[in-house]
Amino acid sequence: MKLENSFSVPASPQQTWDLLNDVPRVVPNMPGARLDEVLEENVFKATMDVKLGPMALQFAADVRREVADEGSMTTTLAVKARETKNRGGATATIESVLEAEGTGTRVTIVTDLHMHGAVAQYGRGVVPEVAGQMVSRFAENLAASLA
Amino acid sequence: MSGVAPAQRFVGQSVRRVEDRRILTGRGRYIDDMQLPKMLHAVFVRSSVAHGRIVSVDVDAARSMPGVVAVLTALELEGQAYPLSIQPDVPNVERPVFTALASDKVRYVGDPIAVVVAEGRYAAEDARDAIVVDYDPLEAVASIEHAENPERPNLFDDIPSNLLYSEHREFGDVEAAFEGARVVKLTMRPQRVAHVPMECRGGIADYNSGSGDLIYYATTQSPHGLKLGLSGVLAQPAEQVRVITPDVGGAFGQKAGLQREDVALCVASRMLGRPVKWVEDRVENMTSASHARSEILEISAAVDDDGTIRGLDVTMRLDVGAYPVLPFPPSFLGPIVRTMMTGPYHIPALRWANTVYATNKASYGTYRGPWAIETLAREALVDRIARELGLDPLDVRRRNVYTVEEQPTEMVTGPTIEGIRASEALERAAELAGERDFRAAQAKAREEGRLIGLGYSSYIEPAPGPPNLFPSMESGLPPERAYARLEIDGHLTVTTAQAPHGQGHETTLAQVAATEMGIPLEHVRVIHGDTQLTPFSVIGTGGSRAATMASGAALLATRSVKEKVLEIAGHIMEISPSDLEIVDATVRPKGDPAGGMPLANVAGAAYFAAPPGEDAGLRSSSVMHEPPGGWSGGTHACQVEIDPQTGVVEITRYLVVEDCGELINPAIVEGQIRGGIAQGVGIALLENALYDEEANFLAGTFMDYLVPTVMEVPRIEIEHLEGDALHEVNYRGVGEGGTIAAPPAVLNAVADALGGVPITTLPMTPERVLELIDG
Repeated sequence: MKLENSFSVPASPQQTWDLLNDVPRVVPNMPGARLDEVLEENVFKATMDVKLGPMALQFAADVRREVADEGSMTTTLAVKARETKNRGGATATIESVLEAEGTGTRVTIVTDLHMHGAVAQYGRGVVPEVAGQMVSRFAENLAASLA
Repeated sequence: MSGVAPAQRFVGQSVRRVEDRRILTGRGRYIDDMQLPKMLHAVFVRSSVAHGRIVSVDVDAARSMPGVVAVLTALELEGQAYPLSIQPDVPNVERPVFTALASDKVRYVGDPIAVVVAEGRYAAEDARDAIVVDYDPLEAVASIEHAENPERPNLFDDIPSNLLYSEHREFGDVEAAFEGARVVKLTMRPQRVAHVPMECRGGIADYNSGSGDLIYYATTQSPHGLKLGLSGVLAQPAEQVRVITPDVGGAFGQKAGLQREDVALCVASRMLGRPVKWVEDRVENMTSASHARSEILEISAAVDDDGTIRGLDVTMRLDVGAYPVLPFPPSFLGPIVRTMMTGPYHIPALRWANTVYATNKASYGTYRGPWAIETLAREALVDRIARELGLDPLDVRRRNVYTVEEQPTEMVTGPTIEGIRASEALERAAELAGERDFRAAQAKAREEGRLIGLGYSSYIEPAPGPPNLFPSMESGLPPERAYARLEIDGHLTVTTAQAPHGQGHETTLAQVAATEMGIPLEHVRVIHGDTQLTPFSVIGTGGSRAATMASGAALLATRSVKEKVLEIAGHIMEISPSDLEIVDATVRPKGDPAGGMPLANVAGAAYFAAPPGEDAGLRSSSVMHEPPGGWSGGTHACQVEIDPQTGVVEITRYLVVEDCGELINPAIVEGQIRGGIAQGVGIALLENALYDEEANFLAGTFMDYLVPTVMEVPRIEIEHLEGDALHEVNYRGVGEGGTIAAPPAVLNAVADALGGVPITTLPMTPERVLELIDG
């Protein structure tokens, strides 16, 4: 499924770019996420707790930063996540683009998400809403970090 | 049995089921009730992706967890079990070869990858969660259209496409049938459905390393078939494999054959030298056990203006999921549907094409009335023909249905039609449904904005079918065997090849045997479900064989014992055996109620001092071959009212007129009919084993997969026709007719309520009905 979310932060595109590409700093801004290990410059391991309706899920994710093009302010992450209680998993390609918007920055995130297993069955209906909520909390946290 | 006094004639009476005291008081014994000494518990790690290569399976953490005894993957099974495949002698069929636990690839959500064996179930489940499987996902084959697309990957690397089988056949002169005829077309694409037995799958493997004997306690319909499969796959000599089937809580076709989990459990027990138990949970059953239906059937019918059907041109595309259910080849369904396609109608020409595909879904398993698609599509077609020609659907049926006068005759596909009461059932159903009054009421309701409809479906059910049915399908069915043994106290033990799981065979076979023997019903015990004791049958219970075949075998075996008894009694009493009878457990001269001796005394004499010419022990083994006739059938009529605001379909009346020959136990017969219709109503209105476009399974719980409850299943009115007997054993099966006939009856009623809209898929959920209302 394709999810598109966007938000504004009160900081310049360059400031926002610097934060978004500083992985140890940015990850804690994502609700439920923590960085476990930096394997290489662009390869990370992270854990993410998500509530999908009544289901509390924990994902162990391998994250690879495939594109980080400062010229076009575009980042692409490839994520492969496994639910830690064998309830399925997900793969995602997450592309984010920064654009100047007045004195701030508009961040647009396009996610191509493929879920499998029980996660796919139960998550199907609620994922877009949950993703929207997570992104808006992420945006609030980013704004606070940039303030 | 005509000479039996009425008081002793248990056949025909709704006696209480023998098994119910045990089951209803909680003294039934199912797999999950069984505890063996030193027993271990198994759970399976299953694929969460539909299609992918297995990169790694990390079991190290799990192996060191408390209580864990072993974690087995395909690697550990190598050398312990042969790879699995279908029976080798089926021509023109691709034969996927696979392993009990997935090795290089996973091919559906639920594919077993590893089995965790631990001291307890909790420990096993915890360890399962610690196993990390890394997949390299492949594009999923989630539909027949995907399977036909050469761009999509193949499920099996050694099979050149996802097409497993194709067949083209012609019966009669199809070209002539279509020449100058009107053509009515219909496509029917029902959903996938799950069998939903009340008890999920499971088993306990108990290998004795001292003796080398393997006992497998299995929840199965086919103990001998399972034994045969295990013996071959495990290279375990047949005399050292014993399958014991305790009480089984329903199967509906899902528990036939050899399951991959059976193999894994037996290997685990053989490696560990301890009993290993697995009990499937509901999500696992919904996801990983078999599903059925979801054929795509396209029909063109050549018809005359008066509704005479001159011929059919039919294409069936079938999605059998990822792995064949062993030992059935992927080609097995086509010949049954093809042979049954013309149903109770004398249609003189049939062109048939069938293709079968592998997809990334759970296996296709036979489900109650496996050929049901032909009944669904054909009965919807009959109504469509009527609609397009401006005729009454009943008149189209009348014009084509087999009459009593034209029998015996043959279906264009081969089987003999003899002894069926299809036209009588149709007329009686129309009469009971109040066809004429209903049409007036329907017109009035329409004026008030209410939507009511009446639909019919007519069917025949091979139960077990005539002797030439299976040859027509290029296969054969083995005869049915039974043993009977008179005990030393004059009671009777009947041993059947059936593996009952709700059918009441402990009762019905006892009714037949007690009536034949002339003893009280309570003096008969029916033994089943242990390959060490029971006669061989590769099927066990399935295919509606019990009523004719198992009853017939029990009857013949009992009769043979009775002859021995009369021989011995004649010797003792110095009377010709032909002048003796057994009445109420007393052997007596015919017509001399006072002059007899208790059956127990005759039995005792035979056991302790074998009279000349008789061996000690009064036992016999008998075989029943298929008698002529063999058809059940009839007509269902369904009335519905549809709420135009919500789209909810309510079944307001449901009636059945059917013929299954003489009823052994009317309550059991009607229970079978009602249960079948309940499942048919579920198929028509509720159930959907849904996969998404990436072959994720979306219906793993009863929140998502709706089964009918007492709220949806209507009161069912049943009328029995009893046709003339073609054979002494005039009992026929009735298990499948309800499930095959109900979906088209409901579909035709809904279509009728909506003014004849074409309905081409199921279930008819409120959302879908609203779409139909909106056109």
